[in-house]
Amino acid sequence: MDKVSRKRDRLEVIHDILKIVRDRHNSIKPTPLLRYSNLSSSSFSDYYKELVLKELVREESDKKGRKFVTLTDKGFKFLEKYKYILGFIEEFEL
Amino acid sequence: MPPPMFDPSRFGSELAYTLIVVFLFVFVYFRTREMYDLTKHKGIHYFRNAFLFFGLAYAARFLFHLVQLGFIVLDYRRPGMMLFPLVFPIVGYLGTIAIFYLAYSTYWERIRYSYFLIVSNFVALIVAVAAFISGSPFVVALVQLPLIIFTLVKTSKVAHKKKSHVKALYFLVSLFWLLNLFVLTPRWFVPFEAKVALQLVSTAVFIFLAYKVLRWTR
Repeated sequence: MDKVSRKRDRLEVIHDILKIVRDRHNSIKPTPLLRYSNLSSSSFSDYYKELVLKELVREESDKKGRKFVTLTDKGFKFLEKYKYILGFIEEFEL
Repeated sequence: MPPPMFDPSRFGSELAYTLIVVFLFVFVYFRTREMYDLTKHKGIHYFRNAFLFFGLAYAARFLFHLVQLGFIVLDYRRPGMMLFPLVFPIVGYLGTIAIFYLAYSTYWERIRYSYFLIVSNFVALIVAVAAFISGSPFVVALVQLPLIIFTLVKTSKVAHKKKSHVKALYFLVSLFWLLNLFVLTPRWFVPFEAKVALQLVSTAVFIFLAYKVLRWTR
């Protein structure tokens, strides 16, 4: 697998993680999210930090202090624009 | 009233051309902002930078006409000789960086950004110094020509899953930049009609590029 397609896969992974959150009524605990994402825990940790840093997801806590992951507006926007983003990257060979 | 050297139609066509081209490149830059904000994709970042620098380079190129007009109106002699050493280092630097960014947007995964920055700025400075010493856009274009050929040969080796012929488009964008430098030199005889034809064809290519961007950023 060359580096170009690996980069695209990276965007795919981000897309998949965001889609999992959205499909679980925009609220999922980190542990099931790790399980559904089919990533190793270290790899998931890297992606998760990146998603929080890019403000695509945010962590929220309920009254009992349990953590939930939800999409931000930017996260929803990413899912909405995902096909166009991929198309653009391919079209312009970026 | 301006002296007879001033040609309003040439100046008008240059002004219109610069406004359109700068608008199209700035359009590409801002139109892709959301996509970059969402992904922080480096290829998109360098692609945007390329068109930002092309926009700046075309705007700087128009400075030549503006200052020349100023010299003519103020009745200075040999305005080109006085102006070129001042304007063309800036034009040469910006144009070179733009070409580098355009090429780098397609092979950024193969070369480290720090290395790219050093090489691109070093070459751009050489172009700027050559422009300053020679005072000629012809020299700038001549130095940039092998750069374009080299970067295109390098980038054409990068394999992509989908063949979009965008490399040809990148080549045309770079080529039109060089041709637009050639037509500036006062010693270079280019009929007005040929210049307008170049402007029309290049504008059509830039509109096509902007349209391609628009299609994916709706």
